[in-house]
Amino acid sequence: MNYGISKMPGRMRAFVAIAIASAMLITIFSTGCASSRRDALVARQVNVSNRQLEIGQRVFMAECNQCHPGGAAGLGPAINNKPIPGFVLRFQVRHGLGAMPKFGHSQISSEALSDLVLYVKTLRHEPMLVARQ
Amino acid sequence: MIVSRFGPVALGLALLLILAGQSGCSRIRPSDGGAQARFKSPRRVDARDVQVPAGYRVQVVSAGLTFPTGVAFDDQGRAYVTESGYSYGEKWRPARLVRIEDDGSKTIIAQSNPTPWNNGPWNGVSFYQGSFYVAEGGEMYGGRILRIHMDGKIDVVIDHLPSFGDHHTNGPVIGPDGMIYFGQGTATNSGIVGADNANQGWLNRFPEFHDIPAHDVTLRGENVTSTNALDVSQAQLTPVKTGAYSAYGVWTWRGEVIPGAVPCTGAVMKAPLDGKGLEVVAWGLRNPYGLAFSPDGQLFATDNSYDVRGARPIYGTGDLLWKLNDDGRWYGWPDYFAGEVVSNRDRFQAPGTAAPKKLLAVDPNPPPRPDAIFPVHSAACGLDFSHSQDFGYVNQAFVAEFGDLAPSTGKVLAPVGFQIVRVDVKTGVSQVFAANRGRKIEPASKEHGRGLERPIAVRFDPSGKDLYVVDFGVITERGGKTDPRPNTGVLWRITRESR
Repeated sequence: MNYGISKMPGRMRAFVAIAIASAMLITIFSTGCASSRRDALVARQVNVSNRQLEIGQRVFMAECNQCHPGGAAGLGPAINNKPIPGFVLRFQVRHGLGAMPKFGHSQISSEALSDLVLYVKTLRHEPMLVARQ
Repeated sequence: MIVSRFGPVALGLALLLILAGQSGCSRIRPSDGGAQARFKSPRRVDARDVQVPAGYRVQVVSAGLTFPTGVAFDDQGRAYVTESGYSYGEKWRPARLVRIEDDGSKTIIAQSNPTPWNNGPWNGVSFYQGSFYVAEGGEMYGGRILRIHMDGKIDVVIDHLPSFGDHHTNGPVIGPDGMIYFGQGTATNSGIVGADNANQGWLNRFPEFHDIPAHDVTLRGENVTSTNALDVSQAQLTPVKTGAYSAYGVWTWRGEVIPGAVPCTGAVMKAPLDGKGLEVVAWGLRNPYGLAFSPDGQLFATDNSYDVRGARPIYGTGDLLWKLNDDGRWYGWPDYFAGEVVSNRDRFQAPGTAAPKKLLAVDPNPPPRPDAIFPVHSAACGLDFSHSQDFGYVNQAFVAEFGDLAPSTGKVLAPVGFQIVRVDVKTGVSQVFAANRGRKIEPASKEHGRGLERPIAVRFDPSGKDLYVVDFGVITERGGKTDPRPNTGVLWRITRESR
């Protein structure tokens, strides 16, 4: 599907592309400072259903949980409440940014990084729990 | 085409903006720690505000305790709680051992008043062969291990422990070998006495006090220069230069050897029940607070990691869970975190501060890796192991996370800790077991709820069916002032109702 964009004139297409990109960026910026989700981790534990997620969870606990407890905000910002693409996660882990350090291949192998990204995405999908009664 | 021509550039720009968006706001946002709350007395409690996994139930056993730190059970299974008598914020009370009756009322068994009444905090308690063993923090007269008889009589088993500084004498537990094991915290955050220790209160009382290694250490001669924290009138005129393992204002040189001694700071030590023949189990720890033996007899300790404060601030270090080998090994403080050297500026340099430099010229031994890492500033404290199928999670460690004291210990973007976690010590994976309901995990005082405030100790009753949680109570931080609130401590009980 191209939603008719290919039929638009060149300038219009550029305008639409920039508008879509801006909307995405605004969404990401706004969620970047939004509240994190922690309560899902209490009564409903993270479902580690396969070997990849199991490895990803161990890597997360060893390297990420310190600053992003359960994916929520702590020393660092929350990572369980925003749709960060996998390639961005990989880039940030390898290169670091701001206060976040970089993690080389000796700390997290390529395979382990793939499993970690999978696990982080799982944290996002944990359902919300009941509010205070 | 505009889009295709500038596509790669736009993609790169978008990527940069996404990354900047993620990290940027964390730098700009102010600290939002759990203690940064407004609290209006009295504290109200309601077990329904605490969330646990399905099949478990939470109950309030007793409320209105003042700075409780530990729980133990006598031969008849009755619960006893230590009230510490001291809290950060320099608030003093007589330390007490109280029995919690069936109706939640308290019977005082022993108290530190009158000799000396202000040598708290009493950090933890264990029951063994008809007596209680209590770690007396020793803020004023040095740390001690006390034996308290059922009639309230107090014997001093071990005394003169180096406990005048930031961290105290902790524990104790009695091992399968019948020995007393206890933790002794360090005097400082990371090895060098600084102005932060004057803020803590003790540097003015004991200006000669400093950390003590268990064995001789050779220094690299790194010193830190600061304004004079002991003489405010001369603060800017006479800068003070201080080195590692040295008193405030005493500088060190490359190759200087600091003699080791026992008792030392930053260690787990053990002694027979008569207190004679003190031995070092492990050193190079920072604040080994919680001690427990696993069902297979292995000693574990929680260890509170570095803060972003003082002469040598160290950033981004979570609290640790160590399996301790009883061989006198060094675990890395003050130069390593979880086996990684703290001079790695990418990992440990706090924004706006100098990168920490290595202090020791020679490592006593290669520092080991921990068995689990907890969130930065979570203040992992008391722990115990489940040993009964009636409760479940057998062989897993349950750890009380006291919660952050931001911003005085460092900035956080959201409250950290304030919960009970369970840890699979084989994998290092920890999961939240008990925390307040709501969208975020934070202390009840911050969310205006009636649940957990600051869990500081956990212990299973002798049957292993019930997990008791000691909740220290409310501490707030406002305008650089730490304000602990008396009579806000609670003893909770978590029971499994169905499988």
